[in-house]
Amino acid sequence: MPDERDDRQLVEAAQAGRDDAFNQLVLRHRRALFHTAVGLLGNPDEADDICQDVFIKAYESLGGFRSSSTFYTWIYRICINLCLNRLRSRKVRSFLRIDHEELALPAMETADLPVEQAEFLQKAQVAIAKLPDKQRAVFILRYFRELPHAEIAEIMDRDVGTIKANYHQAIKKLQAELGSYVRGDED
Amino acid sequence: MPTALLSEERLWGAPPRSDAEFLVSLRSRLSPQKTELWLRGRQVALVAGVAVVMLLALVSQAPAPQVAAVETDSEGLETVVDDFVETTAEVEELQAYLAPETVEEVAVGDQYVESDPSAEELLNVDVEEFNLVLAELEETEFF
Repeated sequence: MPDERDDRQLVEAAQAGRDDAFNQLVLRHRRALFHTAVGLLGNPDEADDICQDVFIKAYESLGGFRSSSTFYTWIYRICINLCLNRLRSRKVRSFLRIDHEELALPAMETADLPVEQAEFLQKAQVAIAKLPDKQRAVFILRYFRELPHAEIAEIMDRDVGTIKANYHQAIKKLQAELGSYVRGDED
Repeated sequence: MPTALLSEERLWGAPPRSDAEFLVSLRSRLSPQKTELWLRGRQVALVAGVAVVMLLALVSQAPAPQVAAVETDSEGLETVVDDFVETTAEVEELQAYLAPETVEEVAVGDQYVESDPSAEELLNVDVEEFNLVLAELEETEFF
């Protein structure tokens, strides 16, 4: 049975030591957080682990959380930072030739789709994965999460203009690869 | 904006773990922190307890004045308030111990004991000293 309380009420209950309230917050945001992480990292298992790290960090810092920002803005900020750190460490390892960096793409279930749609999805996956890391983060938060530019700016710790410019660039690149199927804000 | 085809579920699939598995795993990662906190609290309590016990032991072993009652079969000595003194001495031995080195009369109980100097020594007066005393008496004016 879904919990009727909003995030703020659940956060306050969790801060008062109610573990069930924190569990509700986890279940409410876990899936969206996973898709954000896997969109950035490309590896579902790694993304799932990152999600756990996000909630552990959130749990540890819950006492200091103030409702000046929303709970999901806060956990997305943690998630994006962890993912970008992970990607940076991958790049360092690749530079040092410890690991060979490859485009990480999760396996897709396309058996139920017509061939052309399956091919389109494959192309979309590659095109999104090829976006620069921060641009990809902005694209995922805006296109899939549908967050306002201002909230993305808060999550990414950038000004709104930078976010809009990066989103615009991302849409242009994807439209070049996938055609007009990908629609930006202005379209 | 996302469409039915270009959706996250299509692109990146579902999380590898179910919600229940995810929560159980998360809780197991969170509980050691709670256990650690509890264990740390217990350690502090244990150390504090040991410290208190050691402090009490030290306090109880500290030297303190003691009243030692020493019974003797002699009638004069009943109680000695000094833990460093133990004696089995008889009254006569104590009298000998307490006797002054200079020869004079000392009182022991009700009896007086005569000791030297002899009468001859007492009668032997220094003549010069005697004359000096007489001269002083002659010069003294009495009111």
